[in-house]
Amino acid sequence: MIGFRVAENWRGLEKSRKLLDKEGTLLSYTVVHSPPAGKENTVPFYLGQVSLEDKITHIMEIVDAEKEKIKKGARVRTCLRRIHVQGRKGLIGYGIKCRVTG
Amino acid sequence: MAGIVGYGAYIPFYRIKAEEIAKTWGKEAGAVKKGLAMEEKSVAAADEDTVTMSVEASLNALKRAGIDRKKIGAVYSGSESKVYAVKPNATIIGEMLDIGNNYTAADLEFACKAGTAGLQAALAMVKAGMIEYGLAIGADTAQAKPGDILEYTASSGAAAFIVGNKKEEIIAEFEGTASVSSDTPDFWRRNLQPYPEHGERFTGEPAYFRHVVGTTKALMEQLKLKVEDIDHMVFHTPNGKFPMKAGKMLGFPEKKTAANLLVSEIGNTYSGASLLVLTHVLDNAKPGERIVVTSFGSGAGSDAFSFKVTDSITRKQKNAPATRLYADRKRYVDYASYAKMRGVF
Amino acid sequence: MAAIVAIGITRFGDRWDKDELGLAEEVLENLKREEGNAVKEAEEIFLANTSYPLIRKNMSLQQEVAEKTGISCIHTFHEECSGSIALQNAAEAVDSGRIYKALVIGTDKMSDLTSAEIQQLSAFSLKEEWQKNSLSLAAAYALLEKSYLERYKKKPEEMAALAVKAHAQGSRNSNAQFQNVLSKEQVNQSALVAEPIRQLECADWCDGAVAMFVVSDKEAESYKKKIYLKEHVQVVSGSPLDKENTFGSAIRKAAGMVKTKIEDIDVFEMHEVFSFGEVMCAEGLGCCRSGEGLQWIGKNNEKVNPGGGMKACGYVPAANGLRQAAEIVLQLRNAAGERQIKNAKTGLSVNLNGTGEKAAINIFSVKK
Repeated sequence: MIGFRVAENWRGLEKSRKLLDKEGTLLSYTVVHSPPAGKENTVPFYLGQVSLEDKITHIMEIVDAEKEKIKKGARVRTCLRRIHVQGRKGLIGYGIKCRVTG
Repeated sequence: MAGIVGYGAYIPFYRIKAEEIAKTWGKEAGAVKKGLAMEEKSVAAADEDTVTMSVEASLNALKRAGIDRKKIGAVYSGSESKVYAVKPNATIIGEMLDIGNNYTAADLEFACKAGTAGLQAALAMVKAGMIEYGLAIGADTAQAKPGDILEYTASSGAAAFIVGNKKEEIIAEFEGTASVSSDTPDFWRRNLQPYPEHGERFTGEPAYFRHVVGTTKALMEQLKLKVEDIDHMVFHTPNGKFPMKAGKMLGFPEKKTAANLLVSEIGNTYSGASLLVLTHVLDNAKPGERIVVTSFGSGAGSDAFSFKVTDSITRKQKNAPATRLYADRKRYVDYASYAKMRGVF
Repeated sequence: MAAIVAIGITRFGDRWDKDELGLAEEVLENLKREEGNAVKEAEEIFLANTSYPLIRKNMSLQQEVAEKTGISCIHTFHEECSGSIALQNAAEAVDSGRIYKALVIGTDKMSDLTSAEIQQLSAFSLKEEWQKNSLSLAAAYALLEKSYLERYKKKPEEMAALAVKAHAQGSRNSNAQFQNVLSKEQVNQSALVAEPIRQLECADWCDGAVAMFVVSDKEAESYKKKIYLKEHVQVVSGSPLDKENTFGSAIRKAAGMVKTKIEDIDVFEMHEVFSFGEVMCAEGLGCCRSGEGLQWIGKNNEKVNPGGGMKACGYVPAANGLRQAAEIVLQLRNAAGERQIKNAKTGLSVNLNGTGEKAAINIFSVKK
């Protein structure tokens, strides 16, 4: 499990900020049933392969998922969500997920 | 001159119906719904919190404001469900909005009026010329004790306002504010307790109505306003009954307080409540209209504001998603999913 | 040209009774049955293992093996390609004349890891950024398979044929962990892992060990059973999930670097941690055109993963490359019994890290 160390969390802020509220296209997606550690409560969830304005391929969860709208070529927009919480005492890591628009 | 330059809303995607909650606790849905005038409420997903919601509401506000975000000189985040007990929401939000580092920030707390307290402070600072722009947010992922009556209404949402002092940018001019504060033990939460306690019926007359009606009257007196001068009367919305009753008590016809019924669809978003209704009103407001907003925070206190809508509003309203869009974008969950999402287990 | 003159293999599965050192000792005993002097004569041990450092955050397994055998031991960690690359390193060492005889051991203890740790290990080659966003190895393969199915207008149920084939072949291999035959329905009705991948399309990460005795060209002349490591390559590339990866696919690059012609390969061992991986390998190696992997494998059933592959044999990450090599060695020695491919003279094994971020190809032949 990728953890969030203090400095790592801090360095990650700019990366998240740069990718926030950006538009993109869904290249492929899957529904994950077998969760990675820490995500047992949230399965099944959608994972998408997304191409954003920066022309880089990103992998991120698709949230507020409406099944009929999720398909290759769908337009998406990124948003900020919690991606990691270190137990009850540690830092909360925020990151980028996306929603299908229109 | 000071006023609202941009505004934005955010309501989560998920909803739970009053019937579903009633069924879980063996209550009659019909009676509850009628008593509270509530249909359903919004539910934040497990990966949402007041920071994520505030960020989206603020991004919407920025889109409407159309200003240089680096000139925002203050960020006030009002919430009673801030993410860390110690570490401010305001700066996590500020960082994500890329506003630079030259701003003052603080998290405010005063039950459901934390957001308007921040709005008051931001307005004062721009009016005094201390800052060019200020960002005030009211947001909550309200904690409701399972089985308690408040479970039908405690919901999640955020509303953000950017205020400034340049005439051509202002869409709602700030005319004045009045506040009433007291020590009223209607609703409280002790440190480390997961859920609040409330004084049941005491939260009505001695708390909500006394403050809301009293503060609105105080503002109207201060600005010499009559009911006829006000086009939209926005109150804090703990449920669908209270704001409509307050409106009647003050002599407002129902059409002027109808927007408050947003609560029956999305629930009481606590620090976001009156501010979300304000965004809803602004979405449809016409130049020249006057809006009065009176919040209420248990403990207790109220902030009342008067805003006059300007011509500039028509070119800014559509620059971000309307509150109605967020209200209509929804999916229902059952009680088990609701409990998982809100960490009841 | 280095040659493999003896091999040893343990039972694959849950080996609760032994740790990595125990399995290494066991497999050396098995190898000594083919060549009694192997341990006495080996000058260096190339040890492939992923579990020990992961569990103990410590690299002293190599010292433990060295102490037990009296031979210097070097630990090789290349995630899922560890076995193949340890063999490559041994071959290069004897080819260079630095040493003459080496032992290669690949062993892993997956049963000592929690399932969360196995997930972690499986994702070792996936970009950290993507893992933070919940990408697992299964999800990565699922994303690729989904794109593939859409592009080539195939149905996910068609992939079931691969697991069925693997078990059919495994049933003829007494060393395979799973010897039961599977039906298409069983595969297609098994639980979803990450759509469209199903539980019965996933190889089982387990315990085991494989060992090889590798000697130099000249030394090989005095051994009866010798199979040469004719060619080998290892390539690291960008991820196939990265649309802007201009560096190209590791497996295609590796295949391009190999001189032996694909048509001259008689037996293939392909990496299928998920069934779809076999298709990726077949197409990546250039056995057939893109989109025709399933058909090609169907037509060449007998010569692809003849022992049952990772799916039926069990997947021991650090030993896998060596298990593949061992199967090819048996085929080329004409000692594969029921599953013998007629006239097998040249064999190819390919290992992938992650979804193909790294590829290691070894080519074996009867003649130099």
